[in-house]
Amino acid sequence: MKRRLRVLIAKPGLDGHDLGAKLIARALIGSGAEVVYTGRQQSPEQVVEAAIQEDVQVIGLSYLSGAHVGLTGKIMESLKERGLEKEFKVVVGGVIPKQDIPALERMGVSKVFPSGSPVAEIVSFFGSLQT
Amino acid sequence: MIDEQLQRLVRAEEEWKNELKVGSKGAVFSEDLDIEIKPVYTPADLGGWDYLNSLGFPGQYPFTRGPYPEMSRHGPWRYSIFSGFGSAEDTNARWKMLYEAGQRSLNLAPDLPTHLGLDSDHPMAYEEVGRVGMAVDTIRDFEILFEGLPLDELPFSTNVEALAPLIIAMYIAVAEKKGIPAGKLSGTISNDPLSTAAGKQTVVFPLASCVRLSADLIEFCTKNLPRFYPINLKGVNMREGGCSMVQEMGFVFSFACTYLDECLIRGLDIDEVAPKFSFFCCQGLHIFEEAAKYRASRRLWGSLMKEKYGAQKRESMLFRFTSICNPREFHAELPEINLVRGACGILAAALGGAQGMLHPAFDETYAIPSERSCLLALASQQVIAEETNINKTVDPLGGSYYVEYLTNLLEEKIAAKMQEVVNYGGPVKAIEDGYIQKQILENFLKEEEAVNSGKKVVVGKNKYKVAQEEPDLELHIHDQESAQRQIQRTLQIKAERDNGAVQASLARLKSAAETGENVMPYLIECSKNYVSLGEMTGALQEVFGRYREPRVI
Repeated sequence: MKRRLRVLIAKPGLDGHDLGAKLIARALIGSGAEVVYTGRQQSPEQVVEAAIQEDVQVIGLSYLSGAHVGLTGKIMESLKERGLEKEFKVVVGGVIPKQDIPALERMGVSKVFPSGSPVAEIVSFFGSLQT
Repeated sequence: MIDEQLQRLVRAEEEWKNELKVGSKGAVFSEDLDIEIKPVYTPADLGGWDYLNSLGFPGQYPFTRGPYPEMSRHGPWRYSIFSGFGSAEDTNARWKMLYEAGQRSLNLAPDLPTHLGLDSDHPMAYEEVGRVGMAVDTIRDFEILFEGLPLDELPFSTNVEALAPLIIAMYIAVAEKKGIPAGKLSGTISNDPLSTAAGKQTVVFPLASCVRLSADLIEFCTKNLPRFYPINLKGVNMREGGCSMVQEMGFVFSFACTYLDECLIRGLDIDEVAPKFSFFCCQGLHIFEEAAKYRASRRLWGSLMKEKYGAQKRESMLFRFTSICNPREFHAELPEINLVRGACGILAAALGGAQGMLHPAFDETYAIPSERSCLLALASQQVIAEETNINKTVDPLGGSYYVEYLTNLLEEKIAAKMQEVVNYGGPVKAIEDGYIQKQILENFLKEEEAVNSGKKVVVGKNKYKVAQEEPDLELHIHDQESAQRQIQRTLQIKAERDNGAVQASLARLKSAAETGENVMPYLIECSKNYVSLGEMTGALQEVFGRYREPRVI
C-alpha cells in the first residue's frame, strides 16, 4: 500500500515572496497530503536536511528571485553526494523562464511549474509521485 | 439633517423600493468590506454625519479632504520611478546621467543579501549578489556610489527595513568623510521592519529589537538630521503580500503606534516625532472603496494623533502617503489591458489624495519592464494628473453619500482592526505568533479562490478569454563577473583595513546595544572604519539574537 503523500515545501535562497509556496502547500493539504514548510531563507543544505529529517517523498522548491538554476543545482548535488537522489522527487515552481526548464530537468528535477500553472495540475502531479 | 427629515427619507426609500421592486434581483456584496452594497445611498445612511466635524476643509482637522489646502491643484502629485540594478559603479553612472537630465533625487535598490545583513562573501549570498539591486558591504561601496554627486543637494531614498540604521549610518559616514555635516542630508528610508516581517520578507533581529533599532534611527534623525524623514510605513508590503484594505491600514497604523510609543518613552515629544511619519500604501482597482480608505485613514490618523497622543501641531496630525497600484491586480493574459487596470488604480489613489505615486509597468508580472512599458507607466500617471481635470478641485468625491458612507465604514473597520492587534498583545507578539501572517494568508487564499471560481472577474483570464500565445518570462541575466568583483573588493577591504579599529568599534557597538544607548553614533564609527554591514549585523545579533520566523501555512 502506498503511504500517505508527505511533501516538503521549501524557499531556498534569500527571496521572501512565499505566497506561491503557501498556496501550493494549502492545496496539497486540501488534497490529503502532509506538508512541511521550511520557511524562508533556507540554504541548500538546510533544505536537504529538512527533507531527510521530515522523511518526505517529494521536495517542492519555490523561487521568485531568479536564482533557481544555481540553487537547485546545489540541492541536487547535495542529494547525490549523500546517495539520496533516488529517494526524493524534486519539483520546482515559481518565476521560471521556459528556457531554464531543460537545464533543471537535466539536473534530475521531475517537473517544473512556471507561474500561472493551474493549481489542480500541480496537486495532481504531486499525487502521482506518491510512493 | 433633522430627525424628522431623515425619517421621511427612510420612508420614501421604502416606498421607492416597493413601487419599483428594487432589490428583487437579489443582493450585491462588497468582498472588500464584507457588506451588502445598497442600490443607492442617501443622507439617511450617514448617521450623525456633520460636515464640519466629519470633513472640514482640506488642510484642517480632521483632514478627511486632504492634508493640504489646495492639494494638487497647482501641480501634480510626485511621480516616482524605480531604479537600481548592478554594481556601485553602474548605479553611480546612472545617477550622474539622471542628475544631468534634471532628476533631483537618488533612489537606491539594495540586493537581497544587503537587506538581510549578509556580506557578498557570505555563503548564503550565493547567486544573489547584485541580482535584484546593488550590493552594499562596506562604506567603500557608498564612496563609489556617491562619487561626484552633491550629497547635500540630493535627497536620498531607499527601501531598507530592519537594517535601516546601518545603511543610514553608512550614508552619514560617507557624507561626513566628504566634509558634509549630517544636518545637511535629506531624504527618506522605510525603516519599518514590522510590515516587512508581516508581509513579504523576513527580518534579521527579534522584533522587539527591530522596534528599538527603528526608534534609535528616528530619534537620531529627529535630533541631528532635521531634513531627513527616518520612517515610511509600508502597508504596501502586506497588501502586495495578500491582505485586504482594512487589514493593510489597521495593521500598519498599529505598527506606527508601536514605533511612536517607543520614541515617546525616550522622552521625544509627539510634535517633534509625529511629523516625521509618512506612509506607503497600495490600492486595487475598486475606485470608491480605495479612495474612501485613504479619506478614512486621514481622519483616523488625525484624530489618533490629536486625541490619543495629544499632538498640538498641525503637521503632527497629517496622514501623508505615497501609493502604488497593487501589482497583484496585473495579469499575464492580455497584458496590455493592465494599462487600463493601472489607470483605475491611479484614479483611486488620486481621488484618495495621494502625495506621490509609483506605478507598475503593465508587463512586470512576466517580464523585465521594458523602457517603453516604464514610460507608459509614468505617462499613465501624467495623463490622469494633467489631462483629466480631476485635480482642479480638492477631494471631488467629498459629499457623495456612497463615498461618505464607505469612509465612515472604513474608519470603523480600520479602528477595529487596530484594536484587535492591541487586544492580541500588540504587533510584536501578533507577528511573532504568526497571527497577522495567518490573516493575510487567509485573505490571499480567499482572493485567489475568487479568481479561480470566477467570482472575481479578470478579463482575459477567467472571462472573455481569447486564444493567444502565452508570453514567456524574461529575467535579468545575472552578471556573475560583477558579483565576483564585488566579493573580491569586500575581501580585499577586510584584509587591508585597520582591523584593530574594526574590533574596537564593534566592541563599542555591542556595548551600546547591551546598555540600551542609541546605537547610531557607534554604527557611524563602525562605518568609517570600514566595518561591513554583515559584521555590524552579526555584532547586533550577538546581543539581540535572531528573528525566528513563524512558519504559517
